[in-house]
Amino acid sequence: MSVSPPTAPTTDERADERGTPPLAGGAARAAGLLVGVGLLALATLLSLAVGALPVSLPQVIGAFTDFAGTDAHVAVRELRLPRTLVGIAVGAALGVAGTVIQGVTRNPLADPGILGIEAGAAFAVVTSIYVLGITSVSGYAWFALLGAAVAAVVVYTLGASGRAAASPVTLALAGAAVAALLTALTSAMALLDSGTLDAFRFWVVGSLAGRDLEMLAGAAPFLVVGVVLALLSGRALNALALGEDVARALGQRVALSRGLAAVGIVCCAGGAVSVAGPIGFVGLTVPHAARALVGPDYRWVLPYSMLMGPILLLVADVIGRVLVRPGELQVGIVMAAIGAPVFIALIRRGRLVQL
Amino acid sequence: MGPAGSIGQDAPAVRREPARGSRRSSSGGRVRLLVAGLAALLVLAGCGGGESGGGAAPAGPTRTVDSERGPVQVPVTPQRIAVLSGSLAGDLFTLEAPVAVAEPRVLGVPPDATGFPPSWSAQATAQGTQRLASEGAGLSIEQIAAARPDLIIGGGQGFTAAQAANAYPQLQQIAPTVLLPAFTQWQDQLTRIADVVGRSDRVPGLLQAYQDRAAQVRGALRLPPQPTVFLYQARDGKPYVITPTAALPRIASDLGFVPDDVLTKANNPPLFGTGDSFETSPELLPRVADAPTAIVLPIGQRPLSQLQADPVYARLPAFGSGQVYELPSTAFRPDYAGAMSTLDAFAAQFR
Repeated sequence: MSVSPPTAPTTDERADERGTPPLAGGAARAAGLLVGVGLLALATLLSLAVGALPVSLPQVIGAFTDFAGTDAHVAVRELRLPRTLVGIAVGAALGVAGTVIQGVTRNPLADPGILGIEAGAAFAVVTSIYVLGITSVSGYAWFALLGAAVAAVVVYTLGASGRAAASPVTLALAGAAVAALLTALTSAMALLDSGTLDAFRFWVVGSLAGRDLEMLAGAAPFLVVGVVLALLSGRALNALALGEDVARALGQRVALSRGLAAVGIVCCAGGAVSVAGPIGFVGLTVPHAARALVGPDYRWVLPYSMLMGPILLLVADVIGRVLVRPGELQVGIVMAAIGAPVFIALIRRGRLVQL
Repeated sequence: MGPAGSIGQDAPAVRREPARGSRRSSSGGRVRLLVAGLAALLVLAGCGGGESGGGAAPAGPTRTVDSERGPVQVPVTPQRIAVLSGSLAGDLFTLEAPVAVAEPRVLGVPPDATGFPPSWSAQATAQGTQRLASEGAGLSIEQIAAARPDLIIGGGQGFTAAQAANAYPQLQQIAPTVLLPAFTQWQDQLTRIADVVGRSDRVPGLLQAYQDRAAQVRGALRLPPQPTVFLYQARDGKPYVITPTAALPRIASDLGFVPDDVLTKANNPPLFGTGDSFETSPELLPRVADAPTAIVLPIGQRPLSQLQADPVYARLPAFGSGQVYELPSTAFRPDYAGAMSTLDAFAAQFR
């Protein structure tokens, strides 16, 4: 039934106006994806091999093939493997969630925070600390997920409750309003009680350390559903990029596409924030970097984002482990420190694709 | 920062005006009013002067004590003390000094129903001490001013010291303000605070009481295998190791414990804060904390039971052999009462 969605020529024409992206043409882009997979493997190896305890490459391999319970093996298996897997999952989820939210809202500055997801998660976490006295990161996880989902539903309902259906503008406004309210309530609660503030201020930075695989397993269904929904929304996002009317004329069911994309975003960002806490800049920077490479076609931007997110996050995490040895910096801090300059560099090179 | 001397010069003149007026003009109520009004203006002007001069000075006899900001004129016997650090307040109560308002927060120690830490909440309640409400909004200068203190004491360990240092210009305007350094030994802190409030005569007796109790506890103690490593996990989930020269290992030494040389094992890492602990990586913990006995503190609100379930800690020798003991958080940066209760805690743990 549906008319064929916006075709490759359309997007390439758009790209041509601003210069051809480095990776034009299907073969180059597919090869680029393979390179991305290779880089991700390298980042994974780096994340397993680098840390406070010097561990040689054979020892890293030995930890999996021939586990002997040495300090090195335990460090790799018990400490570095969980945070590496969490980094991959969270990085991929944040990367695609950022891409989808920028596409749905057609706002180049959008990140999952714009739907109030992080504010909702933070509010739920601080409530769980203050009211229920929960102190462990795994204890916060479910509250974070719940808070993220409720906030997103509220934002979507508010955004859609006007005369028009949920438009990018009403969505962004509703998100900003809900996030502001929740952030104020969160601050009020954290400041009322110094014990709560103490626990909350470390959660809110975002970190991959101290997360076990059980936490990741708990969030995994959401992350998987979210990433799949996000990857499937490429065509719809391409259509929406042409404007709502054109998308409708092309046979897109705009409201449905937006709804599915929103569910994907909530699952991705909610799952990520529940495991790692709020980590900024991945969702903002990665989509732009991906577009700078492959141009505006979401069917390519999405898989690239899914690869670049975890590469960026793992490298940031490794940097955090090296900078202040034998201590370490939370990845949220490193991400902000390297994410901002990367973003500025992208802007200065004029590669920010207009949406 | 105004020099301490100028504070002493301005304000007595201000204070004397109304007194003179009231003595002279029994007939002239107007004159009295005028002088009082002028005095009020002068006081206001003094307050507005900010760092350039003006400030409060003690009314009665004074003496000079050292502070982090140079010598300060303080009352010989202060009547209303405002103490801006929970870690310093306990010693004031131990010395039975009159505390009008006190900062209630002490690292790792949850307050009891009165809002004060349990170790001195009874004395604070008995004295009618106000709780300094400084959460969130920061140091409440207005509350301190409203308590009309004749001496303000701030500084010591931790965040509240920084708050007091930032507010020093305003605090000076309210009352003589003594900022103390961050002590790592409770004995030094007690001695210095006693000097500031003019109660040094009580210190030798208190120190002797500690020595006596320590000897008593040591005599009855069943010493676990030595050396011992002292650990806590901070709120951010990172493991911290307490240095051998910090207060708690010193108290343990008084009881016959041998603090392990963790600094060498950790390759002389950068120290945290005043140098009483350092952060280490969970990956390095098996090397740094390999002593046969471990003492942990629940400072980050992770009790021993949770640490025992954590594979990183469970693999440590002391955890494996069951030679791991938990002491209360007050043992980390103890004041005098904390040092005494730490002795009791050792006596209870190692029977």
